[in-house]
Amino acid sequence: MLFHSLQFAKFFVVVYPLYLLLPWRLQNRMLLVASYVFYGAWDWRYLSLIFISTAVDYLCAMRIEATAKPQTRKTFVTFSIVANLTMLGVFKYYDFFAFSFQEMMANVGLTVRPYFLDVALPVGISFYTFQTMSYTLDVYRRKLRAAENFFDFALYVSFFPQLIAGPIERGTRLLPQILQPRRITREHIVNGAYLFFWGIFLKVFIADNLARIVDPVFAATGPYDGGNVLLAVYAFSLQIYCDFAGYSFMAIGLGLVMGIHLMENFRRPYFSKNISDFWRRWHISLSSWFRDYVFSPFYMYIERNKRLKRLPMKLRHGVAFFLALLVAEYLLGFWHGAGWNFGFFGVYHAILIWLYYFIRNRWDRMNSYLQILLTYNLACIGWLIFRAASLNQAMDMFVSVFANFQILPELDLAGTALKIIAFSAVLITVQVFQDLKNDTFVVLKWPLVVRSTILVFIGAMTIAFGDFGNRPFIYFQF
Amino acid sequence: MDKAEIAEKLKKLIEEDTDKSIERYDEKLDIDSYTMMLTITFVKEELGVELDMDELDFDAFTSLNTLADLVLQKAKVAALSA
Repeated sequence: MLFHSLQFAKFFVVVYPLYLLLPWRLQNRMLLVASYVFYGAWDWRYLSLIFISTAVDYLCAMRIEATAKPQTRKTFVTFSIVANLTMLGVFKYYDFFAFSFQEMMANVGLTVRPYFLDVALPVGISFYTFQTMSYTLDVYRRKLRAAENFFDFALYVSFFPQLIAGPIERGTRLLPQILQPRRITREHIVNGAYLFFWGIFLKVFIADNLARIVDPVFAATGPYDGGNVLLAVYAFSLQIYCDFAGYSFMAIGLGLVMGIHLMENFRRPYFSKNISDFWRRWHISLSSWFRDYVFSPFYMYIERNKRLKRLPMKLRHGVAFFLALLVAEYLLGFWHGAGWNFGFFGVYHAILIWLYYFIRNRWDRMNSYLQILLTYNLACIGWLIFRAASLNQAMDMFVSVFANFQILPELDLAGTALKIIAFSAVLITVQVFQDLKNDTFVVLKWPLVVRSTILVFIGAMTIAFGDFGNRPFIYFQF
Repeated sequence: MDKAEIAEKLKKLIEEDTDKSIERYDEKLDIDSYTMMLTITFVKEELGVELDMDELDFDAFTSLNTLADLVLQKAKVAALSA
């Protein structure tokens, strides 16, 4: 059930009052049942998968903590990783690789008929498998004690605000909050409600309306005209931010009204001054996951390679950094979906980050606004790759912008551009002030008349022009 | 080597790499993963202290003081084990 649906409203109207009335241990049990009901509403068959992931990692973590033998600890953490990645791989990537293998064989004149599973991707699987893996890894690294109570741990895995599309939480952050009573203040409720309704505004008013500009352009098979493509890419950059950040704000808001602090997932990414900064502001829970569990171990492994020992320290560091970054970003891109364009999206960003560090001193001396503008446009090229149905389509569209830029008479360039600006004007204005004050809740601190006007305006726009057609969130497909 | 010496060496490295100046040892550092990994490599190479994934917590590396504390702690553990 989508957060902005009537179904969810009915669900939450029952859950929240119960939550407020119950003592904290019973709150946990009630939340666990509610989270399974929430997840089962998508498809009851998926419940077995989340239960399996939960059970495997609960038991593995207990075994890791119970022994000091390095080999036994390593065995159980490896089992956890393999089990979770196998589940993810089977449901998300098997058919893609089977199809790619079939295509590859066809290219060399061989006909193969691999078995296709043809199963729907269980919603949220990319998120909760990563969340549970980080738990066992943190227990293995002795950063966290294993949860003693299975039901408390199950709530950590399935907590409904962040179950479907993150933020991907860490055991070190969320488990302690589950394992102790929560205090809900007036500020939690006000800020939580603000975030929730701000998220609805981003999703329903901005993202779903911009989708009507973006979808027809990317659904076309070509040839493309650069004017249309350019507008669609800029519109998509705003759509994907509002769609995904909108979900995150709703999730964080729901957590906050229950006194649970979920991690920040987006920090005004289009205000980034360089592409490295962009990845510290965009989908923070995922990028930090890959930094901590993929990039850093890879870096250490490469940097300590005997063959690199002869190199001067900074050169050795540069080589290790680039290789580890390439692997991490490629996998991060691929996490998003079973498609070569996603992997290429990751590689594209790895190259950009590496180039940034190569020219960092010169880049950082540029005018700040120019840095922001360039970074935003570089990110948009990445979005073209990301949104395209294939690498071929991405290439054709990219070429059309630079080699076949035209504004067709039937393209209402000014009208479409105005629509994009109109839909995003409030967002951009609010974010400018948020960035100036470095405060997500800056609107709530404005004088009563000003903030009431803004909030009423946002609410009215959402109700009057919002697309309540229950278009699913983009990241649900990942 | 004491904490101040370690902090001073780290300060010099980070300032040189980021082209930014650090005024105080307890100043909040805003360093990215490139500089952080260079710092870890430097600590191993120049200070002889090897940090591994068990010690690393990027979000906890808030200042030169916290970095120096970690290096010192790890050096003591390594000395005791030797």
